[in-house]
Order: sequence, then C-alpha cells, then structure tokens
Amino acid sequence: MTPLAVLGSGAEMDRLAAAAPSLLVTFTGPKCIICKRLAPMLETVVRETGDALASAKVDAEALPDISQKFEIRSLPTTLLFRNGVLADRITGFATAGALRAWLLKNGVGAGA
Amino acid sequence: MGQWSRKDDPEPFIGLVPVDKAEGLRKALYDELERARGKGRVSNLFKAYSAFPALGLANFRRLMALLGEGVLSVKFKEAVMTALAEINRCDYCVSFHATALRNAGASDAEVDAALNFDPSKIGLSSKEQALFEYAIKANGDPHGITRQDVEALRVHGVTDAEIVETLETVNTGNAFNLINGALNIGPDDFLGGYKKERGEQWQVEEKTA
Repeated sequence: MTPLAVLGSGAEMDRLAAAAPSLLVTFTGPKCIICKRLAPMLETVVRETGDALASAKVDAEALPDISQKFEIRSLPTTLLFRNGVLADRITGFATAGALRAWLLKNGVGAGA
Repeated sequence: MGQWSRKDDPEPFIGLVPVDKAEGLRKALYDELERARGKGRVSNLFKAYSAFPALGLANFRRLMALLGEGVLSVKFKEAVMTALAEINRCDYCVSFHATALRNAGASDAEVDAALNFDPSKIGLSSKEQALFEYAIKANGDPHGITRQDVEALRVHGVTDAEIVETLETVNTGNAFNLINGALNIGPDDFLGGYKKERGEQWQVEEKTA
C-alpha cells in the first residue's frame, strides 16, 4: 500500500480538485491514532480504484485555513470531491468495505 | 532473523533460544508447543515469549482456547489476524497468519482478499463476513462501536459468545503483532517465505516516503 501524498497548500488542493473527476482528501494529524488506523483502509481502496480516483491527505494543523474552509471539526475527516465540488464526507474511522460502498454510492469505482 | 521490512537491522532485539538448547520452564513451553503443532514447530514468537516462560505458556494456552474452543471457523479467525498483521505492518505476522489461513482452506486469492480487507472475497459465511467487518471496525476505533453495530450483527444470528470470540481474535492478533514488531522477531523457516513481498514492499515505501 502506498501512503497518500501530502498536500502542501490550499492552492495545491484546488488544482487537484479541478483536474481530477474524483478526488479523495483525508484530513489527519500527527497525534491522531484513529487516522493511522484509517490509513491502510484508504490506501487499499484508493489502490483498487486506480486512476478513477485521485487522492491526498492534509495535515489539519499545518493547514488550518483549509481545515476551516471545509469545516473540519474532528480527525480523521475524509472528503470526496466530484468534478471539483465537495460531494460527501466521512468522519472518523471507516473499514475498507464501508469506504468501497461510500465511493460506489457517490459514483466512483468499479460498478459505479 | 528479524523482520523482512527491517533489512538495516536484521537481527531480533532479544535472543531466541533454539529448541535443542531449551531448559527448565522454557523447555516446558517448547514441549507444549511441539505437542500441539509438531516436532520442531516452535515459532519465533514463542521463542521470544520464552524469556518469560509463564507468560509464554499463558498466551499459548489462550491462543489454543481461541482457536480450539470457539464456534467460529479457524479460517475466519486467521483471516482477521491476517488483516490485522497487514494493518500493523508485521511481515512475520502476515506470513504466519496468511500461511495458517491457506492451511485452513483459503485460496491465494482469498488470502489476498484478507490482506485487502474484503470479507466478500474470502469465502466466509455471511455471518462471518459481518463479523470480519465488525472486527476491523472495532480495531480501528473501539470506542466508535455503537449499539447499532452490534444489533446489525444480530440480523445474522450472531451471539454474545461469537462477538467476544471475534474481539478476542482482534486482541490476540494485535498482542502478538506488538511482540513481534517491538522485538524485531522475524519469520519462522517453516513458513517458506509466504508473502515475503509484503515486508519488502513496506521497506520500499518507508524509504521513498
């Protein structure tokens, strides 16, 4: 499993969202234990989905403006953008199975 | 030897006493393992535990109770422990439990499904698929489990005993992963290097991160 790339700025996030039909962004923190447990779930599902889904993670403390913009109240929070628009979010831990179903519900992935 | 993913420090952090050198309580532990698993089959995990023989015996008997006295299939329990080993990045544990999962009747594709946390492709009953999801969720955030999560299991006829058996599977997997990881305990020769590529891949990812 390859770790998600870390976003360095809001501008980078905007570029990624504009370029990718589907983008998953997870907000994490260095002390967030649940985030560490969520990581393998996200990495697996992102890998399975392949080119249909771009992905990245944000250190919520390092980029507070983006966190505020997207009303990130707790960590982890995972956002899904479709065609540049925020489509859905998951707060907290989710199994790989739950993530697959969530992506499918939002029109991303095999069978969508 | 140490974990495949730690090529820069290849030896375990504590001594692992070979079977033919064991004495006293350590030998008693090894003898019990060999009676259960076969001559020579003293895993490196329990060689590490033999530094504290009473704990080694207690944990081995706990493992035997879990695998031998529960009602859920060994295949299910090894699938959960394979998934946990992947989550905890213990390459020895992946190799051990993936081997045990295969010995419990899983195909290589089903082993891969366990490593990818996909219970629908492991060849489990619908009850065990639901319990697998519950196990992974409880491992991810135990305090995030709700009454609704448990009620969802009841639809599949899951009993209290099966819930406890599932959670103890998570507990046991995590406990052994921790010992192996923290002491850099590497895989047993008798595993034949199954899924060795997981540890090697993790080392590559660490270096490029």
